[in-house]
Amino acid sequence: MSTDRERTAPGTRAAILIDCLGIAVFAGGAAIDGAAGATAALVIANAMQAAGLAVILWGSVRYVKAKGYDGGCGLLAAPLLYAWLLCKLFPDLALYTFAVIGLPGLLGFAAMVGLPDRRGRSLSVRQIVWHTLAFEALVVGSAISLIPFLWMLGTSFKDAANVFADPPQIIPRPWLWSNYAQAFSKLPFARYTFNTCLITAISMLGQLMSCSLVAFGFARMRFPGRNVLFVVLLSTMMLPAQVTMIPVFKIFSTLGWYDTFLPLTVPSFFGSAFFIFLLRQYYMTVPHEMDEAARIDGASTWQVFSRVLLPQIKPALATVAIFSFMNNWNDFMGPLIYISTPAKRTLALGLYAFQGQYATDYNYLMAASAVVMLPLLALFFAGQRYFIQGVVISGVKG
Amino acid sequence: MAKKTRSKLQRREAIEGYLCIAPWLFGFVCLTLGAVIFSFIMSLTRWDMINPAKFVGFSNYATIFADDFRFRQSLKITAIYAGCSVPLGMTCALALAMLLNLKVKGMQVFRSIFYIPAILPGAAVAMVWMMVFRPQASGIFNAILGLFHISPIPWLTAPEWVLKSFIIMSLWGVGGGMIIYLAGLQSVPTQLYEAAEIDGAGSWGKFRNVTLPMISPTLFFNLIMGIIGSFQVFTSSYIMTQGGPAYASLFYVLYLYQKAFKYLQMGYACALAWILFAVILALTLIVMLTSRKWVYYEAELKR
Repeated sequence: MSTDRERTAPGTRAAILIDCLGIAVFAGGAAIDGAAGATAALVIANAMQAAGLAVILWGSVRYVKAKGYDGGCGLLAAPLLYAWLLCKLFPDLALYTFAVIGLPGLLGFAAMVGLPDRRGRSLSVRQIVWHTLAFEALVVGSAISLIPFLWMLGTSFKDAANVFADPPQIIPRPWLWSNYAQAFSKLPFARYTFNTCLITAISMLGQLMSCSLVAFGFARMRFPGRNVLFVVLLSTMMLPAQVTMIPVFKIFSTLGWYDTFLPLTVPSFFGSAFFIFLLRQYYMTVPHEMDEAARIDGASTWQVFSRVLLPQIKPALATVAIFSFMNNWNDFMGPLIYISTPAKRTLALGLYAFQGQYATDYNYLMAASAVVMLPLLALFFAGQRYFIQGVVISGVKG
Repeated sequence: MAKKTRSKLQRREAIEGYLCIAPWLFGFVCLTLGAVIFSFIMSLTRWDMINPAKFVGFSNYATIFADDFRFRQSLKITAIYAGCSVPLGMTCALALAMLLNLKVKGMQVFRSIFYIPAILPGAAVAMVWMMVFRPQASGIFNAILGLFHISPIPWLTAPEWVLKSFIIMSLWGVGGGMIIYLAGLQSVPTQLYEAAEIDGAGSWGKFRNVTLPMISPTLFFNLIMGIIGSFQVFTSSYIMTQGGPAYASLFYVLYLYQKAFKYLQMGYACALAWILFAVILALTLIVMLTSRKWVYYEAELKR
């Protein structure tokens, strides 16, 4: 690389330019009347300062590396330097800044130093920089991603008087576990939970039975028009549900199924295109020798399906079960259209009704929301592998 | 004789095959194909589901295109939303996937944190974001902005902010796309990167000439799914704003729902659904036609 020949650290000039621009923006912002413009300029200036700092850091690391020094010390200083700069700009934020920028930087650095790469060599300075920055970006990103969650949990334990406190209460005082019991006593959530579980369980059963059979047909049986029908199946995935929503509503209400669970459960017994596709892909990976051997032993088609192939695709069935659970548990529009009796509501619909009746009781609303989310969190941690497998099969092979 | 037995076997297999796919075939004919045709016929009528439908020709479509302000508004809003949230979401998802792919410590924890929001119930998520977007300093976003001396933003109550709020909210669900990208990135053979390094490619060169082409099928898939998904936003707008303020968050499907189940103009709503279908189909076809230029399939080379 050309770094050997460079006298000064590369990128220094660019960094100085960025910094000067940042200062200019800052000065311009200060000159503008009104707080909003000035603060926006301050933020931009800060970002540019940081960018300049990053470029300087980058250059000096390459410089140090070219000269053969151990770059560790300079790197260690970088996140601290950045944190220090932010603390200077926002004195009242010193603690937060250090927690968000400085600490993860240090942690990331500590985690990376001496870590060997895929080929067993210790990481180069360049890799350490990238990994540290990546780690820091991930920490900041996931912190932002967790804000709504934590805010929900925090609010769900708050006293009603503190929900809209200004400045906001980060940790609820007093900590009210009773909010959860309160929320559940306001509307018959136990009943809603039962309804949701019933619908979800029946639908899951229907999906598993129908999709595994239909996918078997598409993967293993030869019949005229199979490929055309499979393309038709795939293309129905593109069809927006809204096109069929009104006619299907008409059909179900003509059958007298309005305000029953039937419209929410029966369609799953006809399978769904995505699950059929997913299972069919999985069937294709099972070697044909298995069913041929069974056929030679005199097995019928039904036996080949139920005894030989079904046990082979268990992981894919788990994926279908999990996604089916998720779809039904999360469904809002279905119950909204078909259910009118309050006692027949599902959790999602009950939550909406709760919000309509107790709009100001945000602490109870958040407690109820947390409870509605809880089964999915549990499901995710129990079946993480299958979740990710399902998403991956759909995306990469599809 | 042998031939005859074989064809008998074939017929038997065909019958069994049709039996296997019968559940789907029945559902498809009744609830999809039949419904689609029925929906189109109904889009040519005035129909409130109580009284018999009255045939009116294409006048529903004429009204929609000629003088339906809310149709134009909802289509505009939804198109802007799709135009912003799809590219933004795809970029964020890809960036996160690439960061995770660096094999940093705690990768699984990060992956879970980013993915979980994508699987949570839309109704509960909407409740949480209403809390996050509270107008005064009592909303957490405004409280955080306040730390930086930025005055509170009326996220959901001002027409010029509400759509931006929905776009920000959509970024919370990029985890699904991220997982797909991550799988795509992990399937890129390392030899390709090594070869590129030998050829003198830098980080950007490797990204531009190895990573992007190799994951272009994944990009293609996420783009199509993103377009379809973003045109069907319903739950969040129904719960959080009911389309307001000043129709600034009147998403297309929300308007369709209101026409159908609030005003009981079923024929009109069917026409709206068909227009939605046409728009999504057109966009999907455009993406598919251009995909030949930018999507790289390994299998094509093997042929």
